[in-house]
Amino acid sequence: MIEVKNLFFEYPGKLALRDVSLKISKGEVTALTGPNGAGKTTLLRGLAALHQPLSGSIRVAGIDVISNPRLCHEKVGYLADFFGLYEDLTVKQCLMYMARSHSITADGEPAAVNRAAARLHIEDRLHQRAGTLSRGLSQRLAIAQAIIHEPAILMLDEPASGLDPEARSQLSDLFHELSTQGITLIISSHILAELEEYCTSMLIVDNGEIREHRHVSATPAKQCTIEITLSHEDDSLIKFLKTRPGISSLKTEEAGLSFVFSSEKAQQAELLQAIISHQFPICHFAERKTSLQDVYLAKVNTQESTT
Amino acid sequence: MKWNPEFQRNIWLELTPHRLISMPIVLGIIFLMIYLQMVYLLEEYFYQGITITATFLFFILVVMWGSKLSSEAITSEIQDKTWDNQRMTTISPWSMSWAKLFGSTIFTWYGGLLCIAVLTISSSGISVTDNLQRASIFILAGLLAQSTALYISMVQFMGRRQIWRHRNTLGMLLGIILALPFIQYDIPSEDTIQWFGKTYNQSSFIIFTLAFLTGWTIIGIYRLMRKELQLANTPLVWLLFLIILPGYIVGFAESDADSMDQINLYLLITYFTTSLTIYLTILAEPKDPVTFRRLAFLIHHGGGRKILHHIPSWLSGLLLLGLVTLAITIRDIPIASPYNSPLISLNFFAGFLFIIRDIGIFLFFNFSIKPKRANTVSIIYLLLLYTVIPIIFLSLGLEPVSAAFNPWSTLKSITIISGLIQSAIMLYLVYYRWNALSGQAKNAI
Repeated sequence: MIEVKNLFFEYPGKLALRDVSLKISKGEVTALTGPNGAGKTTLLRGLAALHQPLSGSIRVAGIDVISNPRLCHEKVGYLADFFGLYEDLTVKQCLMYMARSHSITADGEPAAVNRAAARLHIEDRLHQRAGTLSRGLSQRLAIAQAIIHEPAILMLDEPASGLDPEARSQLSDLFHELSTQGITLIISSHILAELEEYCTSMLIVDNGEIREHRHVSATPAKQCTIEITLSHEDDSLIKFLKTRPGISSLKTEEAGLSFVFSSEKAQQAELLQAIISHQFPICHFAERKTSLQDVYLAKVNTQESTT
Repeated sequence: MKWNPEFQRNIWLELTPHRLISMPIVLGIIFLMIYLQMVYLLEEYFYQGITITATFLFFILVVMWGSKLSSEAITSEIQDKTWDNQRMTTISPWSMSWAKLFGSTIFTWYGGLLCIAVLTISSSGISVTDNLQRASIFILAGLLAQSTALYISMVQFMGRRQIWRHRNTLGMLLGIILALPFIQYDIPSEDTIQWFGKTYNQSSFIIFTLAFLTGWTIIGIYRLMRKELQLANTPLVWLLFLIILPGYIVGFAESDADSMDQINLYLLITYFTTSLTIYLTILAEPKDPVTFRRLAFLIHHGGGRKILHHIPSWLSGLLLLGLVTLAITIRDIPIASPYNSPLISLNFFAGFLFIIRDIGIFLFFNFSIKPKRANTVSIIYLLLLYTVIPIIFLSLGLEPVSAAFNPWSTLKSITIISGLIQSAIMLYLVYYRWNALSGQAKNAI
């Protein structure tokens, strides 16, 4: 569905993307993450044919984006991190405008408007002025505008920023719903926990390069995070664990420790036995489900320690 | 007919029922006040008063307010973060261009057309043809002002996305200045104009001139809109403009000039108009190193036609200027210089070299990570090089040294050698700085 090869993108004095290559299959939900200024927005805007790269190639839904940017716009829906709405228009007018702007015929327009409104659960707001909507509802309207032409791919840049927890939860449900409808989603976000349930892959961008692009389902197979709780503080456990093989990302937490370790039960049993035999005051040893956040942090930390 | 969605959106926003009612009421009150003030005057003065008021109101509404609105047509979208949404639609560049131009100003046209209607009704003793000509001049002058304002605002933000205070002022002012003489034009007029040896009615010729200028401005808007919507332009249309504009000016030359003189005159005017546009375009267009790296990448990889898409306007202008300079040199056009000595075509060659140097100065200061006031600094350097330095050397009695900074000097050998050296130095400095800024981007090429 999306294929990027050797993409370079340069701003004056800064190489925002360097030799980026990636493939995203149809129907995938990709969490695009990375530190601030890593190049996420530049990558998304390049994929949406809003920016022209310095060199490289981008194919979206079989279209050469650099040669045919307007064809790409027909296939893609994009929502910027900071978006605006026509505040003096009603929700219905906003949707009608976007429908017509995407060459939806007069016959198909009412259905397209109603369908997009229904998908985003804003049918009851059609006659309300866009400027009077709450932040969450504005976000819904903006996404409804982005998908009114039934794009094969939807790209959203930091869609949850500035939303309250309830609106974020609703947004998560919405993305889940869109993904089940077969739309390929690329969601740039720092809040990985909300993408966890339905993300099929994660793309980590750092300093203009792809650090990691992996299927999320593959994450817990080999490694997991182990959490240990102690009855009282004992710094020597950290020293002990550092000497053990296969332990990484060792962190002190509020009531104990956590670290990334093998998910093999035998190895875990061996480690637990070693801890007990050294008489550390352990009262809890359990596998924590490896979250996107853990994978991301492990990757970024590894990168930082090597540089 | 397929309704332009952008135009429709503007109608929704601009022509609300309240506005549709309020405009004729406000205009009606103003005309009523004028009527009450002048009803006791002679009929002639009464109509004159109404005519002046209608003209003034048209100017305020269409030229001034319209220029303001059209200059904001896209900058307001950028500021309100809706422009990317529009760029992601499938609206064609042409539809987007005319919808922005006419849509953003439609309310002012509503009032302006009411003023023209009053002007026509109140015109006693003016023929239908004259009335039509006046209406055409007013409408075209309004369009010229608005399209100029939109074009200049687009040039200003093109490739930069910087929205600054007073961002729309320049375009608005230029639009108003261009349209003002035409709005003041007095109808009916028996005056005539000679153009390419033929006599034209002045009013008809003004309509032609306005249509010519407005047409080119709208073409300019369309081409910038294509760029905004990620479509490529070749420099051919720009070159066509640079070739046609001097042709329009040559038409005013004396009709008894023979064809050879007219060709020479055409070449000279092309030389000066192209030089001027080179300076204007290098000031206006983005000059960051990325633009040139993309060009270098395409040249390196045999980009073919794509190379044309990335050639800056000033560079295509410079290529044309090179050809014109060559033609002037070959034809050895005799022309008197302001210094009362024969100015031979080699000075035009020197002028060409100095323009290359000046372009180098602009690029040199713009090739930095965060160029601050690079254009202003470049202009200051150019002022020093063209005025202060030659004057100092001249006052010291060092005319040959002064000639090294004056392309129009009679000491042609010094001027040309100096031009060659200065342009070579600047090109080297530009390349050096560009290379230093390339960093890791070199890997991309």
